[in-house]
Amino acid sequence: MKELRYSAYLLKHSTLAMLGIIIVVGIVIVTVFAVFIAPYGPEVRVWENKFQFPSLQHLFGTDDRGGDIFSRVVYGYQLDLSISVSVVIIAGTIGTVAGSIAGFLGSRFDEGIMRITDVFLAVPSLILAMAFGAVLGRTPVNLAIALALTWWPVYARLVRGQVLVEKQKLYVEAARAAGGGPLRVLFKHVLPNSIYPILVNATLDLGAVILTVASLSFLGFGVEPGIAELGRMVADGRAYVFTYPWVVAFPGFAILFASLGFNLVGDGLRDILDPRLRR
Amino acid sequence: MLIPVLMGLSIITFTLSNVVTDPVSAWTTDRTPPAVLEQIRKAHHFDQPIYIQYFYYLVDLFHGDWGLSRSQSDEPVMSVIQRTFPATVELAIVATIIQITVGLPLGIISAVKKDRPLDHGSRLLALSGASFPLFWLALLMQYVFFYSFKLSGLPYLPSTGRVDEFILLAHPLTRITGFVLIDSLVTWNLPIFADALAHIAMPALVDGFTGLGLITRMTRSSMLEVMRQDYITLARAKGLPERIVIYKHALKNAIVPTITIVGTSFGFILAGAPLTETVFSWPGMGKWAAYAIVSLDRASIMGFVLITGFIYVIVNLIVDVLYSVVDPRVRYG
Repeated sequence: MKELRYSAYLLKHSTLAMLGIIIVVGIVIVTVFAVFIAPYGPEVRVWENKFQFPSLQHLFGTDDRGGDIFSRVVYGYQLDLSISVSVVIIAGTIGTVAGSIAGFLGSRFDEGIMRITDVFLAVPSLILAMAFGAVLGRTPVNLAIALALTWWPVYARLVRGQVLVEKQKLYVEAARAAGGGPLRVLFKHVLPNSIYPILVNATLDLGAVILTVASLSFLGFGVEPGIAELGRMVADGRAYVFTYPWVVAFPGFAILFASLGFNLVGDGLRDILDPRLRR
Repeated sequence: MLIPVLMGLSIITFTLSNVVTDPVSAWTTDRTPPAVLEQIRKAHHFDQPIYIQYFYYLVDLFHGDWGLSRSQSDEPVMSVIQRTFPATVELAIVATIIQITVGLPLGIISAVKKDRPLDHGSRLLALSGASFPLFWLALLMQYVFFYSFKLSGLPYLPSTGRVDEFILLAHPLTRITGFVLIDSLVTWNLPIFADALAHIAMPALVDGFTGLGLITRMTRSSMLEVMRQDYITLARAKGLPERIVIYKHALKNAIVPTITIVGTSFGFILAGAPLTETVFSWPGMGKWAAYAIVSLDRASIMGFVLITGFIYVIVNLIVDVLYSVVDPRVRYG
């Protein structure tokens, strides 16, 4: 408990991390209460209102089909965030399981799983996601699946490293001597102590995954043209970037904002957990 | 190290293109009669067990038959790669050069002048690099350096393509390596060289942006580590000027982690290639891959994944070799 209090104290005194938390909390609120915040629905099209400059009626202006960009950005946050959170949770879970097996059981399991992660990490993530995406269909769910498949090796490596380190420590031997089976020792003792780096990585990854989701949608994979998704909106408005720049500017900035928030929080968390900075 | 990873990669691409999806569909349409389907099955060994199919897949790969690219009117994938490879690699190399020439000095200065405004600036740069959507940055740069500059009458950078068609007609370029910058310099074709530089400026900057902050921060932190060492204190105590202390002693030791980061960020550059090349209409592999993924052209995507994995592995190999060159303690016995 005192650990937690100290961590919270450190966090409060890091301005950048606090800024990140404010951003993230703001985004989460906007996402959850999207229905109440957005003045229009995501698919509302009023063809006479094409390309309107930002005004009081349309805070971010309108796009090529008369849709209100502010509302579409809000709903875009919903879609992007739900995809990103699912990806990180799924990839984190698969990776943690794989890493635990590799670290705890060692020998052949370790070798095998590490080889697999080596291969996955040999290709930059966007490109690997493209490979999976080419095979699956073009829906948001498949996008999430493709990204989860791309991301789990990172967690597997991380968890394996942690488990290997903890395995050497005395309390594991003590727990085993007390009669705890390997599974129990793993879940009750080793994993809870390894969780901080996983959390830091997950937060930073949320930022990275949002960028990848937006990038893939920009390229055309993942969502149909016209859907309120931040990357897609940039792609749709790309033809008009010089004449009606707000169509592209606001969705892009929204992506930057979200990614920035998560990166700040993740960096802050990482700095807190750095043993050299504590005490 | 190299071989198992590449083998594993080929297994993944093989599984994705031949196992998870029906491989015949790459060669047929919905209206192909069943008799022809059977013929195709036999000819491509799709009726054999999986490991035999994999064997034939590898044989094909080694012979250069990487399939036909549906999105490029059935041009062989290998030929598309040969055509587009130099463009992407040239862009990646220029981006890396920018990263190193800007990032390294910035990192050193950030370390020397720690916690001053420049240090905070470089931290901001690293943060932006990790948070900026590349395709949006590309559009932003196009808007500023092409559109706004042009409107205000300032000299502007061209927004698309690799070389201006008209200049190419007036000063034809002999193709030696496929790298426009090298070819034009070697043949002293200065108009093309200047034009190519102008064209490559924005895309290279965008491509390198992600890694720039990373390299700066890494150089900074490893410099800080090194500066705390005893031999630095000794060098100063000997009365050596600060400049020599930094460049001759500190930098050589600090540079090793930076080399790793340069290798890693090359991966980022390759990953960003589809985005940057699409926005700037750069005729490279990225643009081809971007188009392929929209048209669900599996052969192209798998080819792109393989070649990218290959490049990345080679780059990591070069990084490892550079280690042993820079740090005499690391030698492969």
